[in-house]
Amino acid sequence: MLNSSAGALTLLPFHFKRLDDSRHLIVNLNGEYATLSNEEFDRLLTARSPEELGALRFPLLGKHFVAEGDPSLAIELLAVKMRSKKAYMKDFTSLHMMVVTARCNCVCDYCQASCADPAAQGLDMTPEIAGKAVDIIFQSPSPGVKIEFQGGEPTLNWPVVRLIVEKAEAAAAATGKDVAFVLCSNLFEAKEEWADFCRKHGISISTSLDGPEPLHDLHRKSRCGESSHARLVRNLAFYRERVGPNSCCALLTITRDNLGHLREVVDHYRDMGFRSVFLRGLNPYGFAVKNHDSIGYSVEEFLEAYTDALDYIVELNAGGAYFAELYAELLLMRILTPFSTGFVDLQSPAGAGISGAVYNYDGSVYPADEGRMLARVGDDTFLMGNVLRDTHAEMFGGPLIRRLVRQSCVETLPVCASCVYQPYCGADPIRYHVECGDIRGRHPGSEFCKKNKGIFDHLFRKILDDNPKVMNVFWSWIQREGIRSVNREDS
Amino acid sequence: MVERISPSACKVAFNSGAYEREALSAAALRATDKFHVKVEPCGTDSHAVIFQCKNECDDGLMENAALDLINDALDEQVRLDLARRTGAIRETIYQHAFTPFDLRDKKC
Repeated sequence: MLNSSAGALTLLPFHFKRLDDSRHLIVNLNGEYATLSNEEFDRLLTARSPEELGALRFPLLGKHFVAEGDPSLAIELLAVKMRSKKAYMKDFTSLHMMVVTARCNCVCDYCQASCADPAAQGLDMTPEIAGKAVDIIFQSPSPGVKIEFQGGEPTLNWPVVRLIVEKAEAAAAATGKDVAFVLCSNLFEAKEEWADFCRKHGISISTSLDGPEPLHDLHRKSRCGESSHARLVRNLAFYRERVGPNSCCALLTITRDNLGHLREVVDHYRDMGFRSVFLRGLNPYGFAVKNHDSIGYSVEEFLEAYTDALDYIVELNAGGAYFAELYAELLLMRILTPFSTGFVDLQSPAGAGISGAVYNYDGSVYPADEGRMLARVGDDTFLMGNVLRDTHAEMFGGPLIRRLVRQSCVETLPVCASCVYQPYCGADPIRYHVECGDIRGRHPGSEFCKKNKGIFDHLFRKILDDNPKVMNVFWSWIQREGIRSVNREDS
Repeated sequence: MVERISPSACKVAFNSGAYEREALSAAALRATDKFHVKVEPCGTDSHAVIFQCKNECDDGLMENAALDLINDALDEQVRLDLARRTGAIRETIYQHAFTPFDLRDKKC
């Protein structure tokens, strides 16, 4: 089959879907896409010579939907592109999340961590466990590691945060690896000691912001009764002054209450000096499950709000502001560029364990925070091991991780294997386990699948409309530059 | 060939000469979020897809589901045919993408 005679036409692998009554979208293994009329699609399927393709010939050749003569060069190019797209895998686990305490000074209605009272005992990571975890982390083959401090509220166990940073920096120097740190804090408290330490060691700060004060405080409640938003605003300014103006970023959690107000949330993020937002839906874990009736919503409701907010953000950018929606930015990078984009929650195979791992305060290790949350309610399916008794090889090369990798390749999963968006998408085996009891998922009913398909549909509608104003905004996000720097003719 | 077999169930027959069972199963799988679905032989030269609403449904829902199934079955048959034509090349691409360079040199 590889030795076709000169001039013969070879069809190369691709996926397709009907866009509407008159068009098909075709996407090859690496995500290069094209739209064809129904007649053109039929011509592609039935043509047996390049000439029969007519005007389609060179566009389809250029995007590797067909090859002429010996297809070996096309196959090699597609293989190189695929290797580039999957390059994020070669470094193995680079993101390590350390839950240094389960105690928290706030009680959020959707908390995945299911936080404990600050006075509770026995819920902090000990120095011994922290040290063992750092030893395990630096056995990762990744040339660079990122350590994220999580909780609860990690600043409640500040001595262990310090110890981890100092030990990790020593390990990085000894191994020649790079190391970066992120402190995931609610910023309810702030101290000069913490800020100075963060500045000295280049620690970035990630916090949570759900919108203007009434929306933020509605579900992010402090234990002492004070406004968590007021504290956040004050302490954000404090950290920006002492650690650096770009030292802090924020994550949004969308509940029923801010779902219909995402434009106001976006405006508030801009007022607070942020240049991006991640419009992130609720995940089905922890308090979010218990409180679903009051704070949850359907996928359809989420998609309606998301697409409206995204369109609003695009308008803001077209008007000269720079403000990105980070999930759209990631997906656009995958659709419009050949570059590798690892994102733990949407990659194939899934990033759980092979891109990121979670180290609980008691030394247990999980491939994702969701696995840790399931363990809290008695489901140990995703326990990789414990730093006190298991080696790196036993945990990261063990049967659980191998099973997750084998069964989370969208290229082989039912429905995913033939999905037109497959090259851009990924799997979430832990979420599938929660949804249907099977880590491979059951996609006709999967909310994860519906959400991502809905967003892909919306992005492709925008891309295929090819409005220069919108495309300039999309490229400005990909290039991380303001729209005036993106050089593209307006019609 | 759409037959209403009860207020909440429908049967669609497909000629086995035009639609393989694998294509019908793939198409039927897409309907399993809203329907209970079964694929079974129907006579000597056909297969039938029988689907029944999981919850309340009206005539419009059933009719649209049947029409969607007919189009999905065609699409899935096209996908099967494409997989046969391009499957070997697909495997070759993956092998070339992920085989270590030194091993590829030895194979050449």
